[in-house]
Amino acid sequence: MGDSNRLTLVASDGGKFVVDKEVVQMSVLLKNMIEDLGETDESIPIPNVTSPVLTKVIEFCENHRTDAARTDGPNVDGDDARMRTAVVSDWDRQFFDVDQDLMFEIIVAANYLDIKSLVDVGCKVVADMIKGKSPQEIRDLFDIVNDFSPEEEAALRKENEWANDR
Amino acid sequence: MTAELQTASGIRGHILNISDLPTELLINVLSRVSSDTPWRMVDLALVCRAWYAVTKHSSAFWANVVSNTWRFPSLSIISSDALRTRFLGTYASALKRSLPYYLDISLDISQFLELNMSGASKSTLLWMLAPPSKRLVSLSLVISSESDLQQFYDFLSLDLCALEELSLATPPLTLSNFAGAVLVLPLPMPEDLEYRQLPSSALPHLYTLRVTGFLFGPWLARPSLKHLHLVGADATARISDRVRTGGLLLGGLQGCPNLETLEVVNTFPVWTMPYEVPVVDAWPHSHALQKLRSCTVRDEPEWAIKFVKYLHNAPLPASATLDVTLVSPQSSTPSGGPGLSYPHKLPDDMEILFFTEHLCALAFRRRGDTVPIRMELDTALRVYAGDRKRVELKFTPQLLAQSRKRYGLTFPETLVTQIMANPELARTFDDRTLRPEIAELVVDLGDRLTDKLWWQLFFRFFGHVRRLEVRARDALSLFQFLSGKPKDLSADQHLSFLVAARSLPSEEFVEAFTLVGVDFRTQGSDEGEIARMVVDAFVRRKAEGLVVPKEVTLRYRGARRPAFEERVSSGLDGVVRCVVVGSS
Repeated sequence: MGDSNRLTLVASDGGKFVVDKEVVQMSVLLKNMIEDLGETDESIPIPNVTSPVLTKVIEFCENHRTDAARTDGPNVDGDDARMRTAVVSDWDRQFFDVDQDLMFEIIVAANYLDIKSLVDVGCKVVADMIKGKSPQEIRDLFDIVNDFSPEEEAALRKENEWANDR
Repeated sequence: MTAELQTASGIRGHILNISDLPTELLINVLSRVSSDTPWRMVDLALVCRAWYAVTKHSSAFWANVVSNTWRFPSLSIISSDALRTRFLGTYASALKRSLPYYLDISLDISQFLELNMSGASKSTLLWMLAPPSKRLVSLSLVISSESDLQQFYDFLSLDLCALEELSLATPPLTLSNFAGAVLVLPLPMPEDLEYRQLPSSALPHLYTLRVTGFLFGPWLARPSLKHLHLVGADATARISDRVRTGGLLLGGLQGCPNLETLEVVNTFPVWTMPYEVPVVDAWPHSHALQKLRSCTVRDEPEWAIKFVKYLHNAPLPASATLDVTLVSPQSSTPSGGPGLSYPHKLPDDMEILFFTEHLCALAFRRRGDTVPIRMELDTALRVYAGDRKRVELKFTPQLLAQSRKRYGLTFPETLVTQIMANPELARTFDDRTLRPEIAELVVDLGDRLTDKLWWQLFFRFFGHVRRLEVRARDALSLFQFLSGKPKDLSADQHLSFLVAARSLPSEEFVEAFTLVGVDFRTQGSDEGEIARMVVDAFVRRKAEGLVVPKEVTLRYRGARRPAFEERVSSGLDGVVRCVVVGSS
């Protein structure tokens, strides 16, 4: 008989993770699944998330497990207010100090698992990377292909001229 | 040029870079790219087609931008006419592009003011929100304390049919709290805007209002309001943050008959104007606050207990929870002026009168009361009716330390002393027909070496409770009192102590008595002596025909002492019905 306070998550590559239910309940998706399943020893497959990504997601949830308890209070602002006031802590910034592809996979996984705080922090970290950079610097940073034709880009610059007129 | 919004790529595939993010996440990211010059957001469109599509065609993006990003127009924008104009143009455009999304707007417009012909400050930025007024769900404004309120009255009279939350606050630092500055606010006149109500159709779905105290009055009162937070500065009590008069406070509350939550923090008014007396007099008959479920009061003792009196007179519903926190008096209050002013005491003259007959009634006796009451007394007073907390009264740590230093008493000691000092309260607790029906009382005296005479007062007022649990470091002093063997007392003290010991408690005593805290680790007394003292306390009472508890529980600190437990148990055999002795 397994520990009723813990469950096993199975990543897309077969990696197994035994975690506290309380921790993974930061994920609305998993919380609903746990409630639907009731008391069970069955593993929960996470087919869209690889082991390295799931490791990071669990690390975030374990670090923020007390935050989840706080958001259960009656006076918590709505999601939008939380987005607006989201401040990236040193721990969170360190957490996202990873390769870009892993960073984006964490954000996408958080979105799939419906972990709002992780999505918010991740998006804020990326937004801060963009802030203050020129379009070309942004392209270089994220390896984005400029898919405008020279004529289109010229037209766009003319369209936005008002914003650059200092 | 055409571009379509990128569809979500799903997450089965490997995410290579930001271009692979689903559109909803790309919107989330880009809308958080804050900038001191918000019109530069359009530069994001130059990066690639996908980003162009988001900034050009996504209403969700612009709704997020105006909700997340543009809260504080920077000083560089505010101080330049050209930049102000550009900012306002960009803001208006963003609001328009956010259609049809509902909006959650938070703006600091305290610096964004323009003087009109009469010298009153107007905010153009505020009126940028007029066109999308029907889409505003939440609005939080930081406004200057010198603002002309008429513009806000006019704005709130617009069609804000979706607005559920409104916050009006002043900046944290104003002229009024510069060190040494004393701001004398102009007292209101009967024709002032704050006394006027908004049109009946205004703000039909406003449920939550959070407002700096001095802005509050009947003009902000709405029948739909369920949660009202009147807040002032926390660190230092600023007179400029308080509700301006008693009439504005009570008149405003009377206009909110459906309030479920009320928070009044450092905002109780200092003055009541002569022409407001009818409003104040009508308060007990106004049936205000009858749906209140939770009330939080935080203020200096003088103001907090005055507000408690109004809560008592409302009267507060039996099911409502009252949470009172008393803070240290911080500053002097300007007096004089045409209003009726209350005297204010400086910290040096601090008299912490806090347990009034009104608070006592709210804690122990409310209309239609029948439920058993449990009372906890440690560094705070908590009163429960059934399993629901009814009243919590506490000091801030700073005030607790001040009180302890000044009077040398713990919170429980101070409370009992206050009951004694107030003849009406003393009569209430003394009188069999008046006193609160307290089924269970837990008192924790902490590390205080309790004055043995204090027990006289304690049992005078609480000797009738049915279940009593006392926790203390020096729990032995209680047995010294009960057994009539006080040590280390002067002759006079000893005489009065004996009188107390014989007369109280007499006819009644608790049914179940628990004592936690006899400490074998530090007392230095041998266990035989302590056991004799404990047993003697009850044997003597029984021998003298006095009532003894039916159940006695003794929890001691330190390693288990079977011999001590046996001595107490056997000594009380036949004296009390049930004895439990054990290590805690």
